[in-house]
Amino acid sequence: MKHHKIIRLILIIATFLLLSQIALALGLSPAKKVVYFEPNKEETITFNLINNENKDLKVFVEANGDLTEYTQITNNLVTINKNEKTKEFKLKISLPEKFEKPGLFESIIKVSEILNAEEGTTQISTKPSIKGKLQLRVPFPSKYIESRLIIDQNNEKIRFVMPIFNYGSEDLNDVKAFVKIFNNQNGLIKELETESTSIGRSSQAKLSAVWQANNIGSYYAIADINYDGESLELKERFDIGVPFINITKIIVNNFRLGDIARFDIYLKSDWNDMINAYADAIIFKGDKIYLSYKTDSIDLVPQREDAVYLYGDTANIIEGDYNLNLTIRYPQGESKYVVGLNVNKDSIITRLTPKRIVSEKPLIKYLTVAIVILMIIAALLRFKKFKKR
Amino acid sequence: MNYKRLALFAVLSMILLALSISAAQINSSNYKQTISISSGGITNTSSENYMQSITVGGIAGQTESENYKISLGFQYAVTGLPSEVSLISPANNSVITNRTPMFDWNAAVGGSNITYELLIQRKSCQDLSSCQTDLINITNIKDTNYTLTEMLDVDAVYNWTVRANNTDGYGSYADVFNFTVNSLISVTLPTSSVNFGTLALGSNDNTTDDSPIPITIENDGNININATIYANESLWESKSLNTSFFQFKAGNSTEINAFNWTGSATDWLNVTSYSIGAIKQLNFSDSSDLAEIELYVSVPTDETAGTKTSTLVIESEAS
Repeated sequence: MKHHKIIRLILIIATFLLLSQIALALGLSPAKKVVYFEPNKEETITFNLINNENKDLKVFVEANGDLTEYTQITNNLVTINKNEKTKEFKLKISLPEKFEKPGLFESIIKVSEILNAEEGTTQISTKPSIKGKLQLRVPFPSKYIESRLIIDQNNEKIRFVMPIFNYGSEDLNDVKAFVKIFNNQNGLIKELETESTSIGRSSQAKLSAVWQANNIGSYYAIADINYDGESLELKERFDIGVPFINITKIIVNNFRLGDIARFDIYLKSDWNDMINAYADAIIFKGDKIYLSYKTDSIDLVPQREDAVYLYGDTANIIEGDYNLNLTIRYPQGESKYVVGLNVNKDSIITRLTPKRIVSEKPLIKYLTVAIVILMIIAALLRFKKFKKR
Repeated sequence: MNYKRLALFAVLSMILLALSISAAQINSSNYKQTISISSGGITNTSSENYMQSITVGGIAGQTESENYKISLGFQYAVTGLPSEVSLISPANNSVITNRTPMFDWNAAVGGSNITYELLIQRKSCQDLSSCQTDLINITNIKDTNYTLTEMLDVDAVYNWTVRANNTDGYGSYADVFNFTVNSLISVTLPTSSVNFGTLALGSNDNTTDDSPIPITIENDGNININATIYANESLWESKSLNTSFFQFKAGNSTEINAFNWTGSATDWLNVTSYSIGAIKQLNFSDSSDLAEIELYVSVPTDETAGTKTSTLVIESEAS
C-alpha cells in the first residue's frame, strides 16, 4: 500500500551534479619544488597556472602543511583571462634561523577553480582542484648522501649511473664509487671504478662507469660509494638481452608404428642462468591434428643440453610426412619451431634427428697437406739429382 | 746451363716481388705523402680519404668526381670535415614541459651525405625520484631536427648539443645549450556534469550504461596523477553524505589501461565530505590518458521534491 503511494507520488526531482556544462581544465607547473634550508633564507618561487581551455578563470591558491608558517602567497586569488595561456603566481618562503629536525618537510600548494555562483543560490563551488608540492630539505648533521644505482642499457653497453645528493651539512671532498658486477651464481664478472668528485653542501653530482658486456644473461651490480671515509652500498639487478632456447636435436629411439613414440627433444639455452622450460607440441598434417601434448618442465642449466620428453600414440598414424609444431615456453618468453616428421614403420626422422655424418672438410685438408708434402719431397729429390749431375 | 736458368728465374722472381711490393705501397690507403708546391704555397697531405697517383705527363688513379677535383696535375679531396652546426631549440636556458621535445638546429656544410649526432645529457635532477634518463645519444639523423621518443625526466636540467658527420668523419660539437623540463599537473574534465533528469522517489540510476554519460577526467600534464573525490554538500536533503544514496567509482573510458585498475576505486564507494582515492596513476600519454568517474544516485523515499544539486571536487596530484 505504501509502495503504491510512493509510485503515485512521483515527484520531479532533477538532480544536477556538477553544474557546469563545459569542459573544465586547470594546470600547475612545476608540480613540485624543492628548497634547501639555509638559516634565514628568503626565496620567491614562481609557479605557472595553465589555462588549457582558454577561458576566463578565477583560481584560489593556498599552501598548507609543514611549511605554512614560513610561506606566503602574494595573491591568493588569481584571475586568468581567456587569452592568457599561462599565468604566474608567486610564493615567498622565509625560513627561520634553524630547524629542529633534519629531513624533508612538505606543504601542499592547492589550486582550485572558483565557479560563479549559480543563480538563486549563494554557494560557491570549487572544481577541479590541483595539488602541487613545496618541499624543504633540512640537512642532516655531518656527512650524509642519498643515491640510487641506475642501469642505463644500450644493447650490450651498460652505464652505471649514480646521481648523488649531498643532504648533509658538510661539503664532500672525495666521492668515488666502485661497481662490482656479478652473475646470478654470485661469480664476479667485472670490477669498475668511477672518477672521483667533490660535492658541496646541498648540491648534487653524478658518478658513472661503463661496462661492455660480452654475454647476455641475468646480472646484478653492487655499487659502493665512498664519500670522505663513509660509504653507501647500492644494489641493482639487470638483464642483458633476452634468453633463447634452441632445439638441438630430436631423437625417437626404438620406434614401431602403432606403439607409443617417445620424442627426446634436446634443448639448449643461451642464458647465463638456469631457466625452467617446457614444450607445447602439436603433430599435424594439413588441418588435421594428430597429437597435442605438453611436456613436463625441466631446469635448463646454462650451455648444457637437456631433454624434455614428448609421448605420442601412433595407433592412428600411417607412414608419411607430418609436421611437428613445438613451442618452448619459459618465463622470459618462448621460441617456436615447425619441424617436418617422416614417419616410417620403424623410425621417425626429423631434420633435427642426428645422422651419421662424414666430415668432408678435414679429409680435403689432410689430402691437400699430404699432396704438398709429396710435392716437396719430389722437388728435393729432383734438386739432389741436379746436384749429383 | 741449368744453374744459369735457375739463377735467371730467381732474379726475375725477385724483380717481380719488388715490383709487386712497390705497387702495393703506392695503392695502399695507408700510404701518405706530402706534396709541396712552392709557387702556390700549397701543402697537401694525403690521408686515408685521399689517394693519388701521379704519372709524368698525365694523371692516373682517381677520376674526377663530385668530391675530387683536378688541379695542377694532381687530384685532391675537397670535402673535409663538416662545419659546426648552430642549435635552435630548445633554446638555451629555456623551460619546457614537453618530455619528448623536438630538437632543432641549422644544417652543417661540407661534403655530401651529412648526418647528425644528437647528444642530450642530464645535468641535474630535483631529487632521486625524478632521476631516470641520464644520457640520450642518437646518431645517423638525416634531418636537422629530431623528436625524442625516449622520455626526459621532469624537474631536471639537460644539456644538449649536435655535431655533423660526413664521409670524412665528425665535425665539432655545437656550443652546448641547456634547458629545464618542469613537471606539469594539468587536468581536464571533458564531461564535467551529469544530469540524471527526473527520478521517482525510491528509484535509482547510474552512469555505467552511459545514460547519462559519466564524468570523464583527462590527464593533460606530463606526469602520472592520482585523483581523489569529495563533495561539499549532500545531494539529498534527507540523507547526508557518506551513505549509499550517492556513490561513485572509477571506470574505463574508450582509452583502456589509462590507469592502475587494482589501485583505483573500481567498486561503488560512498561520496563523502573528505577526499577518497578514485583513480590511481592516470597516465599522461595522449593515447591513454582518459578515465571515467561513474556516479550512482538512489532517491530516498522521504526526499522532498525539487532540484537537487551537489558539487564534486576532483583533486589531482602527482602519483
